Amino acid sequence: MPAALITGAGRGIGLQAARAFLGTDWTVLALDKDFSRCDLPPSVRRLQYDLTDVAGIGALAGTLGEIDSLVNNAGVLYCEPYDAIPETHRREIMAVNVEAPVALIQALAPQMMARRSGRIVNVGSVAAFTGHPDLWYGASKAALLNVTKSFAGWLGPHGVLVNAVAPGPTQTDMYEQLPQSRKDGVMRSVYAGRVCRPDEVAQAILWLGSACPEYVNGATLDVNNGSYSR
Amino acid sequence: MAQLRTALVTGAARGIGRATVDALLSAGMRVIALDRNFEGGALVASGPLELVRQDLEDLAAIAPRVAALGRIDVLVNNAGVQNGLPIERYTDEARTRLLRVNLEAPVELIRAASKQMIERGSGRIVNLTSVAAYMPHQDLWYGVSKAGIVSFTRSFAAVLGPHGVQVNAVAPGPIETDMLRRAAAPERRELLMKAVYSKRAGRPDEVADVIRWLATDAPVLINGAVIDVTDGSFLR
Repeated sequence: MPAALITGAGRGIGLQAARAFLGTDWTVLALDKDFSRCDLPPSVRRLQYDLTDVAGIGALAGTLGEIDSLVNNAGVLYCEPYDAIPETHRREIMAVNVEAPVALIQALAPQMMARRSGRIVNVGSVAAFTGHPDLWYGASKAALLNVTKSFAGWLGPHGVLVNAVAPGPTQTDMYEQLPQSRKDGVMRSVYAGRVCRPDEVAQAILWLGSACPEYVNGATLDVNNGSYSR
Repeated sequence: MAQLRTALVTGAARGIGRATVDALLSAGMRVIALDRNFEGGALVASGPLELVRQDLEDLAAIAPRVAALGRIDVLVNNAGVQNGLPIERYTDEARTRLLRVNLEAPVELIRAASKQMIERGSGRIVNLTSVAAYMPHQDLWYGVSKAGIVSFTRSFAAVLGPHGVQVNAVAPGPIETDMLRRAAAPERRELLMKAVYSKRAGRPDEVADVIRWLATDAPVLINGAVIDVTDGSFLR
């Protein structure tokens, strides 16, 4: 069975992505710093790890064996005003949302290139295009989409796919952190009159991470229902 | 047994359209394949496959045709022409035909087919655009038509989305088809091949697989989206 490593799999989109891969008979390795609300079956290997420890990622990845699909889903957000963002929060956002995904890609790329197959899916956000109440969250997501393109260029010739999804606001704990003004803005623009469900983003991740044609590479798939037309 | 879902695929005789017919048949759908010419093609009507011969340049004929076809759950606007002419040698006739087939006919098809989709509160429409929508293109009107398709994909997604209808698009890079062989000058082909990661043109079945996903499995919240099938030939 092919194996998927999914970060931030303890809840929200990551948890649903883990379920989606399990549903198509993949082995799932779930990484999160907190599994207190995670109801994944015991067959799933849980890796309790705080991705702010970027320096430890290489060693961790070395213990995981063959990974066919990497889903860089973990992300953090605070929504503090731009002139009142504590240094620790900025560091945490950039470490978890950008530096950790890059470290994971770097750690797993050699084995994927050696096999001439592998898929990486980065979870971006519509915030990459629109700006965001949390300045560093928006900046980190724009950076992650850029990282997607750079690595697609480097790994693509070796048979590795690197794509991204860019969800609009999705019904997760993170959504509850958004200011009401942003929630209202979303509801004005989406066609369906509702926010996205985590399992819907998970289906898009699963397709890119397991099934999409190889010519889909370096792409960002919008899952935003019209909240931003790019 | 439930009635098979039906897809109408335009430009179905060759290339990406032909591969889409195969992909949707494999997915268990009934397919109505529309093209102006099926000669020399391997498509033969049988069981779940119906062939309709029609030239989409005749815009007035589209609505009555769609009305006669019955239930359509999926519409794939794939038909397109490319003239490969530099702008200074373009003729009115070539421009008019291209804009009708590539741009106006899909709009007519969406207008006609969406009525029944709105009534049912479900339906999926997939439009074929191209990296030509984002980049300069030697056939100016081809690029214009493909950029227009991106635009009306968004417009129709906004109009039809609240009624449960998905309208998305696929933007392929260089794909191994007659169109690429005929239209792309060797220098342009070489340039495209330099940019793609795999150093090869895409296969029609790869584009068809993306179309199939949008036409069957893609989450309903994916609406108004354009999926790039470009292997790095253009990064949007």
